[in-house]
Amino acid sequence: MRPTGKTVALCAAAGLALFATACGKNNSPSTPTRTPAAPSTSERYVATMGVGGSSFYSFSVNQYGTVNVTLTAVSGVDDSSVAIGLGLGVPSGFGCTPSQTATTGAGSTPQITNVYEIGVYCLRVYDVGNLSGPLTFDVTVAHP
Amino acid sequence: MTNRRFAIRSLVRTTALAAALAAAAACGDSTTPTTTPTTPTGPTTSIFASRLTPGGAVSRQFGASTNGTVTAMLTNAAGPNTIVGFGIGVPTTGLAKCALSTAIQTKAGSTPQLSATVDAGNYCVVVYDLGTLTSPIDFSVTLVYP
Amino acid sequence: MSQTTIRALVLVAVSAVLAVSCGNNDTTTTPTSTTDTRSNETFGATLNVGQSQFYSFTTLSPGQTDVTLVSLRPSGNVTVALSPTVGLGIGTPSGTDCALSNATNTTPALKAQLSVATNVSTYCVKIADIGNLTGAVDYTIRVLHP
Repeated sequence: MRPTGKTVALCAAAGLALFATACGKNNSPSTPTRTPAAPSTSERYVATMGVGGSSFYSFSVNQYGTVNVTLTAVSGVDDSSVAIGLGLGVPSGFGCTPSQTATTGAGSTPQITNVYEIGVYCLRVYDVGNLSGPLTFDVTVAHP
Repeated sequence: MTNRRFAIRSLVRTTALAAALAAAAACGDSTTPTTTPTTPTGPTTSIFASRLTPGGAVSRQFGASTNGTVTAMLTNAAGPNTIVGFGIGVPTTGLAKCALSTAIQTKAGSTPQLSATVDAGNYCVVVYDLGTLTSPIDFSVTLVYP
Repeated sequence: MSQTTIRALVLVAVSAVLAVSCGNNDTTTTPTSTTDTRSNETFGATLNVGQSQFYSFTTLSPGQTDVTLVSLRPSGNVTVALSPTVGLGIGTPSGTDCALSNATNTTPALKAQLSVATNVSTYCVKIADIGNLTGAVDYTIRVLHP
């Protein structure tokens, strides 16, 4: 027995209704907004670098959150306000490849701040050309 | 034959046909779990010949496709008493082009002078002057590697 | 029994047969590729007496990381292969060092001395003089990682 025109119309209407319902929804999964965790750990890195020198310090971020780097003090032949390079990045090869840098003197507020995923990162401290002798630096890295 | 008997026989035939088709599909399908046979590959033998100049070195790269043993035999090195350096290592970008893992001083011979266990990967063999050559020499190296 | 009922029964029977045959595990075994798709990092430097150095790398997927100390040579010499025992380890960069999770004392070879399971992270390979070096050496290390 062939379906009647009425039956065909009903089926088509039902199909269209389902289609409209499906397409009317926003099927794209909504990305939940994440709140970066505040720093919960501080690591202090004190070292001396020579003219043209650099060194790096690695640390692990254990939770998606904010990392603050503060060059708190320098001492050496040069004036205490001498600007040196700071960089935040990922250890790579024999060094640290920074993705964010700053040239700065010592201070009490973070000179670099950024939000990072869980992982291993590094702080690079380097002479940008301002040193005339060895310099001892004191840097604090605060991270979750 | 009544309609009812005909219908029942139709049911039985249809069911049997469906079962047969399904069975044929299951047995003959390429999706039947199979283990792809691994074609065993034997070691590769490679012979290369070159000329070594005084103070020089000649290196040749090769690739081991699997873990195994590499042997290297130096032959035809310009006479029975000519001693040269002979080593195996990995390719590098440095001047030497080959960072030696093992190296010996040896004459040409009829049996491999070098043997090493390797992982799959790229390697190199080097023949080099120990500082004793006064003129170029021709040599051959036979490599056997997995 | 009406023809409608008989048709329904046929449909159910055929569906049942198909369900049974399709319920079997028909997964295909995908041939395993023999090509190693891991990244190969070969690096080297000069190690002084009493010194240690480390090299960092990042893995992109979970898997196995193989570390091979391939070569030790007198500093500046490319044709001499040394075999003193040195420390070789793998770990995570921490502070100014590489915090080791696996380590061994070994001589150069062409087969990995360390094979460890790694996740997606940044790791480091460390080489150290454990008291057997009598002079500076140039080293070559190969790291195969996902």
